Amino acid sequence: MAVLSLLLREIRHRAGAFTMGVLAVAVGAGLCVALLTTSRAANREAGRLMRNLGLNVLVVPEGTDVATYWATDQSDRDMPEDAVRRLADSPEISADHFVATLKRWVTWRGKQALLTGILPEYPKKGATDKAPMGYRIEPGTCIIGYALAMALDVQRGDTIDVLGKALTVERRLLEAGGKDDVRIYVDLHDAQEMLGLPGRINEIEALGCVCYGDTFDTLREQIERVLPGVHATELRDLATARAETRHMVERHAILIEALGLVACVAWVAVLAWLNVRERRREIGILRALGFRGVHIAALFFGRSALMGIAGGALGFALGTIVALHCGAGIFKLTLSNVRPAYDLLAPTLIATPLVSLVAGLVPGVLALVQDPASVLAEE
Amino acid sequence: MVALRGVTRVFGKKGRQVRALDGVDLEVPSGEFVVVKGPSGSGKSTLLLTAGGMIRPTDGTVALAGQDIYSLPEARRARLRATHIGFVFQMFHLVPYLSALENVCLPSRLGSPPASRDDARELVARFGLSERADHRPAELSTGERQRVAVARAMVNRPQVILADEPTGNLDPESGAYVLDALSAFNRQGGTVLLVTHEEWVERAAHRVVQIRAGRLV
Repeated sequence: MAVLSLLLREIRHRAGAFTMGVLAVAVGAGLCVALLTTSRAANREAGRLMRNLGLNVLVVPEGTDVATYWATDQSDRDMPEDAVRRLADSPEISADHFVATLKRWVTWRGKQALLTGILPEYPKKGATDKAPMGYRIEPGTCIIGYALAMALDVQRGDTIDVLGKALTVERRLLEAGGKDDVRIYVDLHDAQEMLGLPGRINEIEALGCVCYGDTFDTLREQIERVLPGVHATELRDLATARAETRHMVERHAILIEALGLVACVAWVAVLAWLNVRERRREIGILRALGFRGVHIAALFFGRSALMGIAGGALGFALGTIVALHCGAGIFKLTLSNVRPAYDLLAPTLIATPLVSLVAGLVPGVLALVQDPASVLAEE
Repeated sequence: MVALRGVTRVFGKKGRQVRALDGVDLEVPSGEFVVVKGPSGSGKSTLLLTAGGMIRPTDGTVALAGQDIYSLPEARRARLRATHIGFVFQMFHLVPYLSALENVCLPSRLGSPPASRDDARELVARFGLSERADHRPAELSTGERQRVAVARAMVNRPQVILADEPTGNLDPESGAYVLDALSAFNRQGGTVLLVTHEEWVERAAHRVVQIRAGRLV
């Protein structure tokens, strides 16, 4: 009788035990697949949430007094608008989402307002199409901060006059508890016209690399090589929060995967050991009949491998279903990005038999080295 | 056919050693039916399994068809068992998830030449088990199980059958059936080495040897 036939008969005979083993592998594999699938979404989600905190790199023109900048939130120097393109088009710059800005405090209807002219984000050259982080403001329109709007009773759709320029209020911002509450966002070119600074900007904001452990010094050097004389600053709180949050999410996923894997391996190992114990006499008689060690190994390791393959396939399906089902409730911002990770199927079907074999290794070796005579002599 | 010379087998570690076989010399020529008789714990099963290449002696040699079997690597010894030896045990040791016929077929691929399924079916019929061929061991009586075990031992046409208390768990009728089957094998030229503690089994033997405390007496 062929070993494969014997193997399949045994599996059929002890279908319950085999199913338990398949489920053990499936749970382990499913956990990994679900976590990997959702961790991709979680990364995107964390990235999006962190990105919503704002840009974390500030570049101000040469000669800017940084102390004054932080006191007034504006630079009294300016630089060409083209600087943003030069940064974005430099492949060595590890930053993205470049926003050219011209900011000035102005007095409007007796109130201090921070006129902020921005252009849509300038994408990094060669970067994949990323959703813009900031506001998109059409020429002739504006977005007005909460405090200003409340104080001056400005409503959406109103036409207001700022420094001689008629602007339609596109939107009133919700209360932000900061400078945004006294800001008037306008199109950069409108701001240049209103301030009499055509083609000029006085800061560039960007999103720096969130790679954990990277120092800002590297990025600063890169920026200052492209734009000599400018001053680049990291908005440290945002950068750190971004990096640490993403890393926390990643490490947490790794921890859960590792624990799940260990539990799965232990479960499969116990089942394999029970299988070997239950089959001591069978092993003994097979030896007595002339079956060699390689046959016994094929029986036990083949069983583990089949358990791994079946468990892997089932685990992939379960993990994907769980990820899709649970992801909908967890990842509000990136919901559409929670999708089956088919690229995990092949690695799963390769990894699970290997993990199952590792789990069954000790019991399998015990089966091989067991003294058949001792069980055969039992009465 | 089977020759044990000065075979000693010691179990256990220093201080708690048990000498299961102690300088055993036994020769079973081809075509002989030898019964080794002795009380429980006298070393009968150890003697049989040592003769069958399953327990390496601490000292001495075991030859099968003139070949010192423990000088062979494990793989060749396994092959020798498959082609030359048939085992029958008191507890039958059938594979629980195979039918009676499949149990008989179990070693057939290892034979030289391999026995066919028809050979196995013929043996099953000869042992009066045709109606039970598709039944699993759990569905068979003890007598039927032992008949399956004897048929399995014979499927590869071995030269020698080593039987360990083959009638020990059977009622007199089934025991007689099994003993007759072994006698028939012996009459066709096969060698039988049978260990038992039962007196009545001696009737089939050409020679009876007594064993006590690991020594032939």
